[in-house]
Amino acid sequence: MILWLERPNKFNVPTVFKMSMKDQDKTNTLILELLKDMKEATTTELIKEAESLGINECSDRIPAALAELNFQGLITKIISREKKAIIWTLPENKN
Amino acid sequence: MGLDVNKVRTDFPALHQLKDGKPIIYADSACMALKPQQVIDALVAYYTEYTACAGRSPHAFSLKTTRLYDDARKDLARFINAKNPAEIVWVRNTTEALNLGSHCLSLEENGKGTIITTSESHNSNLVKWVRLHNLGKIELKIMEMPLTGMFNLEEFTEIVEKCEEGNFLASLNHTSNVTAAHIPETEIAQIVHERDGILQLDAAQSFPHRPIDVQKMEVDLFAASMHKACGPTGMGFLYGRYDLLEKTEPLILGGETVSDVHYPHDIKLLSPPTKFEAGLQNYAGAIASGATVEYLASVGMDKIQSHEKLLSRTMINNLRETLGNKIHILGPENPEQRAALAAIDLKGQINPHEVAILMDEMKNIFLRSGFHCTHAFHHEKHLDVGTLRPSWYLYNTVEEVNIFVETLQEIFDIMA
Ligand SMILES: Cc1ncc(COP(=O)(O)O)c(C=O)c1O
Repeated sequence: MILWLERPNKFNVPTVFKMSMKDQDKTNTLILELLKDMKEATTTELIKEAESLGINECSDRIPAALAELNFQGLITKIISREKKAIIWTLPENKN
Repeated sequence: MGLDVNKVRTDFPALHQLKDGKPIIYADSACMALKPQQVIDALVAYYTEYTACAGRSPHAFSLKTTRLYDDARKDLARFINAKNPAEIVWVRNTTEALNLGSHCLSLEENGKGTIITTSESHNSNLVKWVRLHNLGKIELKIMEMPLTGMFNLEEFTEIVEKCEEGNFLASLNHTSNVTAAHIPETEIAQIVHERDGILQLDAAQSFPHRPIDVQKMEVDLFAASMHKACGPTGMGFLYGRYDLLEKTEPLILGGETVSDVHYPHDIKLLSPPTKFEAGLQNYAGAIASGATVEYLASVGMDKIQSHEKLLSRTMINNLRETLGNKIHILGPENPEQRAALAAIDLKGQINPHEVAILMDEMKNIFLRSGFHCTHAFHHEKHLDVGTLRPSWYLYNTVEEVNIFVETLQEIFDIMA
């Protein structure tokens, strides 16, 4: 999913709203912001962090958002045997 | 002769695709079932050949739509052995059907009826009741279910005995989407009817998977989704005993629900099921729902049920053998007592969501992870990261189940 604000305006009419359409869009934005701050995080850590920030979204949607952002190349992942988890990061944080 | 799974698979175009050059293992049917070509053809035919509304316009397209719309209702009525096709109301899904079913109960503040449900209920059979309770419109009794999913008839009887006679609705999960357990619906019906109550079954996970006879079960209301039964999305139905539906207030009112209207405030509602189907309907969906039950009947519900038993047995036995105590499978120990799904607790060693993502990547295994819309049950049982849930259907093979178990083992080897 491309975030609403970044979606090209294919109808060639003025955009009348700048707000996110759904909580899912906000979830995607939040994940990107969290990864900017945290540099890297596991799925469990991201869910916990999002919940502590009081996100109004079912936690089951966060993994789907991660998979989608990964598919779009906006985040990347590695498997950490040490942490026994997937570690998510922004492509620019990957060295 | 058992179910010929290879023949069945030829009916499902989604299974003929490759992803990254490999076949797809679809293990998410408890959420959404794949569609056979026969159902897709019925949908496409409506949109390409005779798009029209039913029952109103006098032209050939509309007459055909009306005929097929009515036939679909009759086919479904026969499929679940309802006495009368008018006992079938088309709705969008199980959720809407359950919401409508609850209107059988008096929702007026002083006439407060009781709704009884169980703690492993899906949110669609819980959230509305909690809301009504919080608004002071009903009494709510939630019977706690164990992780084994076994239904305690004695405890249930005690709860029923405390309800006001003739003023309660037991809205119960027929087959659980987390414990995979079935409830003894006929005994439950007797207990409920002894005190003149109403029994509503959330049949989202039973209707697609086993032969259903609503009369034999003596159930009053039966709610299911077609999309979990190889049918079109956004289609479901509520079966209701006709006398009950006659007394039930619709969820939505408007065009198609009345025979006449006069100012200032005279409306004459139609009889069931029409009074419940407000506005133009999802005709394509209803007609394709007829094609769906025709398809399932042609394969044979008995055969589907025994094929799923084989898949369930294979999964449970192999998981136990390979992963043993590393995991906990919710629901009955005995695979024969289970539906062909399993919510698997990974005991905090690996996050189930990450396993689902890796399964997709490694072997094209599509399955679900998390709370499966049973948040309260997961929280109550301290399953706070959720569970991993493969769910199988008529088009799955024993080989696919084995690949799932091997892949889970592989992920454990890599990660845990
Ligand atoms: C047991 C159970 N009940 C109800 C539902 C809700 O079905 P729908 O989303 O089609 O309304 C589901 C769906 O997963 C379910 O598994």
